Amino acid sequence: MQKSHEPGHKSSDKYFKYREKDDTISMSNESTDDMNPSDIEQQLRQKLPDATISVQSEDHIHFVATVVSQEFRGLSRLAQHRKIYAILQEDLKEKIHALQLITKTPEEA
Amino acid sequence: MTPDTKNRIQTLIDTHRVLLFMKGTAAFPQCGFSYQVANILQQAGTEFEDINVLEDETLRQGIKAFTNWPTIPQLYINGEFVGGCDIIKELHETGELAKLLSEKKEAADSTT
Repeated sequence: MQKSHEPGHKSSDKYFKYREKDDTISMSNESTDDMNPSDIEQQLRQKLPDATISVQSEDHIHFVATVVSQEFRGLSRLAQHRKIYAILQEDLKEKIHALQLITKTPEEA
Repeated sequence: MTPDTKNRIQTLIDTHRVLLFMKGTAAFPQCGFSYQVANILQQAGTEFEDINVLEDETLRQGIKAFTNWPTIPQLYINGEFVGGCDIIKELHETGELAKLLSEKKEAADSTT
């Protein structure tokens, strides 16, 4: 995503112009409907400090998260995914349209 | 979720051995994730009931609360929630899904 379109940067005027023209254009990280992969990553890291986390997204509504954590030990894949869903509960209601999950214990990674 | 919706979902789950809540139908899936799971079940030669949540907003929201799972598709086998798209794909790749389907079938048959 183009960081240069964040307000406060040089191109912020351009950003607002785009938003006025057509507010369906999702050019910016700052749109209230959009989410950064790093936001998701941060939330997960807070609750799973030991984890190796990677979150990717091309459009900021569909995400792919890979999480390797020792907290997954002894949990079924279902329970592992539920753990992630619980952490992201709020954003899953609105902002995250689709979240593909890959969860592993350190042993499986 | 109203008790009504809850009962409706429970009845669906109780009356169908393999039940897929999905967006669209098995014949015309309307979401890539739903398509993938329907496709896997069709490949496995499993008969299953497909429920199109896009036709029923109450059901669409209700099933998320019922399963405590925020996404669709959702697969139930013999009354148990098995997983969403990622889990079904993994179970399919490891052969566990086929095992689950056949084991469950035997278990179900033996009770009839």
